Amino acid sequence: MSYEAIIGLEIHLQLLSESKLFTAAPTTYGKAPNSNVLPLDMAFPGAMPVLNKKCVISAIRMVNALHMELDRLIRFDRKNYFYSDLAKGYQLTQFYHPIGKSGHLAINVNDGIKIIRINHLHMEEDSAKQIHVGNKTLLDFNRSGMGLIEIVTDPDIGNGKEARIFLEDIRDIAVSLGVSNGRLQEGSMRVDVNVSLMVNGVNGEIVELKNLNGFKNVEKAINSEIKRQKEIVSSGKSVKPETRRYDEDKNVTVFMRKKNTKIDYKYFQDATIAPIRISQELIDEALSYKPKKKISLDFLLPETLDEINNDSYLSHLFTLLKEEDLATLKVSNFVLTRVRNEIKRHGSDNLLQVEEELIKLLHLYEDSDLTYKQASIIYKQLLETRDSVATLIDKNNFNDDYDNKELSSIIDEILVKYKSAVYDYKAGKNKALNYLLGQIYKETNNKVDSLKIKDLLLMKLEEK
Amino acid sequence: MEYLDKNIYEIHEALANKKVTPLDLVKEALDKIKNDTNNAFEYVYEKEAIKLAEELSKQEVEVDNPLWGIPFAIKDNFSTKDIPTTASSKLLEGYLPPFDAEVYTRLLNKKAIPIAKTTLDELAMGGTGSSGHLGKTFNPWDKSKTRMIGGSSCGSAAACAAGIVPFAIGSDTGDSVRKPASYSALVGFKPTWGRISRFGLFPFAPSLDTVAYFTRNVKDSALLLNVLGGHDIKDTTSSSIPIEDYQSLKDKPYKATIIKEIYDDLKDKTIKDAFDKLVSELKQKGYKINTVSIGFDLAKAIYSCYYIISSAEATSNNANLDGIKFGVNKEAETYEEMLFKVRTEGFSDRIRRRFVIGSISLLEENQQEIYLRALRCRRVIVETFNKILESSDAIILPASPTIAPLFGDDIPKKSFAKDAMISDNYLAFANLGGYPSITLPLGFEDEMPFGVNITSHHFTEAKLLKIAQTVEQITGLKDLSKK
Repeated sequence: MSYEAIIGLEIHLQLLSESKLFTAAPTTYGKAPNSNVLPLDMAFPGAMPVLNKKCVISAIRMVNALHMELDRLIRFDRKNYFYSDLAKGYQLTQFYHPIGKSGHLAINVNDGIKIIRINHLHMEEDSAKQIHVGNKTLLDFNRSGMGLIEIVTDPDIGNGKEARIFLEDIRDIAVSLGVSNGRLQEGSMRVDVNVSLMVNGVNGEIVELKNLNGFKNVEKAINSEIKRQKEIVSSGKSVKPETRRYDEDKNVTVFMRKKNTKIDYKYFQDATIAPIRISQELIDEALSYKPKKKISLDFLLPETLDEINNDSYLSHLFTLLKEEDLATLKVSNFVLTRVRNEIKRHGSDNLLQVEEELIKLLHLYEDSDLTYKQASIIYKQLLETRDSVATLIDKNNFNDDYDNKELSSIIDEILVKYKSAVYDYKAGKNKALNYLLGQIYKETNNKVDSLKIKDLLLMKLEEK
Repeated sequence: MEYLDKNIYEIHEALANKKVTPLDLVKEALDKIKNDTNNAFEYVYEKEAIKLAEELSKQEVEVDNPLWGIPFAIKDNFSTKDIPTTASSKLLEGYLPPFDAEVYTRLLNKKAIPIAKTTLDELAMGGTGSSGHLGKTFNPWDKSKTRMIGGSSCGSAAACAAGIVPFAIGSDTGDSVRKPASYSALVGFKPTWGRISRFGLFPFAPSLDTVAYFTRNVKDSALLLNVLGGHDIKDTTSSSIPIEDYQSLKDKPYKATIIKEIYDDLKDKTIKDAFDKLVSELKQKGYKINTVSIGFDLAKAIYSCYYIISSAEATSNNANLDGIKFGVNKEAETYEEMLFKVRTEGFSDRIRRRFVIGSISLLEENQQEIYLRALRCRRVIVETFNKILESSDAIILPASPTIAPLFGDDIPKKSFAKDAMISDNYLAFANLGGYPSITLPLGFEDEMPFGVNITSHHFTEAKLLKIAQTVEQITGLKDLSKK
């Protein structure tokens, strides 16, 4: 038997916008339940939708980035169904005329580039949030009416890894275009996966994977689902159409519900939103946005670059470093240890407060006016006191008291004192070098530039 | 001395000349409402109207604002902040809306005084004025109380016809203002779809829904359009085409068209004679009047097409009524059970029937055959009438083939059977096409009024109102009411 996994994705991205898709209600996260709500968000009779321009601009950017055909006449349809989280009893969506059609995205996979076709992209509104407490269900309409775009791929994806790479690329595009913050964990990006197995050229039933909360989990869930389906088929049984979730601990997909009857959503075109023709001016406005450039530095590992690009503060800081000609290996290393630590512990709030001074500090460090150790001390004090770097340097009294001759004699003394380390170094043990350096730092009270010391030390070791 | 049976300009003049104050007018209205037996009112602004009138009575009359201090009534399917609004549905008993409809706001800004919310057919669906939660609304012209005033804007029509208010706001999705106007000797005017903001109007079928209103004469209708018409950012379907001065167009002989199949369907001799007489007098005034055939099938299709589209849209627009967010709630174990209880007890059989028909026509397996077919049919109807209105200034026809029917007469007639009464159900063509359309009194039979309807092309209200004024001059029937 020959097997081929057929995978398609449905991706929801919550749009970054100050107000909802059809009302002026704010979208701020974490507000008291049912406080970010205007009459339409709770479907009070007679309230009417007014389309949010910012959301249209975001959709246009995405359509453009994914090489799609833009439908220049915006229309909305009603998806009719009853559910407690659906205030109006219908969802405003673009069923018949999605704003984008027939696009593609090329992804980098092991053996080269793969094109994933994108069927369509449409705008729609989010539903309310249900909170189950005991035997009661509470409803929070703050999310009701928030703007979403849904991206639906053709079934061009062959395995979990491709799906993950595709999703990460979509996330990167959405983030860099200011369309969405694309956080799978927080629900601002949601993914449904359709997985089926083609056996000897015949399509199998589709299994839908839901509630996937991380890119890695998407990959693992798909791979384990493919494995499960293969096992079923090999044992002569057939895969049933159903919805499953992923159990991270056991690395298996778990049955959620059957997909026996298809819901008839009775779609029809809405007549409360006037069709809007997208003007060339609006397209120009949408596309004039300069995407945040991805940081790319040769000397950093791909994983490190990913980390920088996926962190809003680090990517911002590295953009600044590039502008300031500070994106060197030396400064990068400083930032990736010191600054990354601060972000992990306290987030970026403090850093944003001292940013200007931090840049000054990094200049001094790059120009070797401060040693690594000194820069670290100032950095720590900067975050604590928020004094200027100049003030802090004065206070620390770092003046380099050692001229070259002095330094040379200190090193000579050390080399005599720690003879065995010198032998070890000569025997090829690099650790010994660090040991020697540490001793010299101690002796000079960290006041001499470490590179200067290292150069001098290496020179002397050569001579030995 | 009573004033509220007069027209807006007459009352305004009395106010300007200090013959009467807003407080006198409000007291007159409240007094009349107390004694009214037509069952027209949902909510009466007793305290609110007196308070507003007292404030206004202390101020100078705004002589350039004819609506200043004028009491009016508004159909109970317009959202009015903190004033109970039920749309005549049991499910919305006790509902206090959190915002005002745009038309209501505009009238308040002009310092007109709301005096009552008026009853209607349940959720504005129905043409009999007898299906609301208050039961039958009677026709002031019929003292035996056996004849309807028509719906769905029955309460607004009755309030205006009984001389309680000089104008009343309604809504027109099929003929809900223009038909009752015919039965009650009023001017009933539905402007172009998009001319007046619908923000705050409870949606029934948004592709057809139009704010409409009753007045005692054509001039008052023109005045109101100048106040209510124009773009509203809260309703994106409201047009940004600027409004005109609807009273200033020069009178000239226009060209009008009679639709053969609708005219041929008339059986009532009095109505036919009155209409023929009007036509010949218009001709004498230099009007060119021709008759055009649209085909029997198309004429017959207007009502079924309207019924399918409106029912389909109605199921969706009323899906918000689940008792969870507002309205009458019911205890239940599950959401499904709650929905079932609320919507079974909250809607009448008639409404549930409409919803079922609407739902069935939208189902995937039927959509092509029913709903989409109705949409295609709509396109053919609209193309046909567009063509007529491109070569003619207006379509003119009797607004109804009979005087107000007896209660109980209506139900069997409204079927899609072969004998569907074309001349009784054609007015919805103006909703299918979104045309401005006006009904005004044409004559009387057995002391009961009947009207004539004139419909013109999109956004030609100024011309339409001029033609209506000419008709009004010919018939001499205006400023009518029945105590």
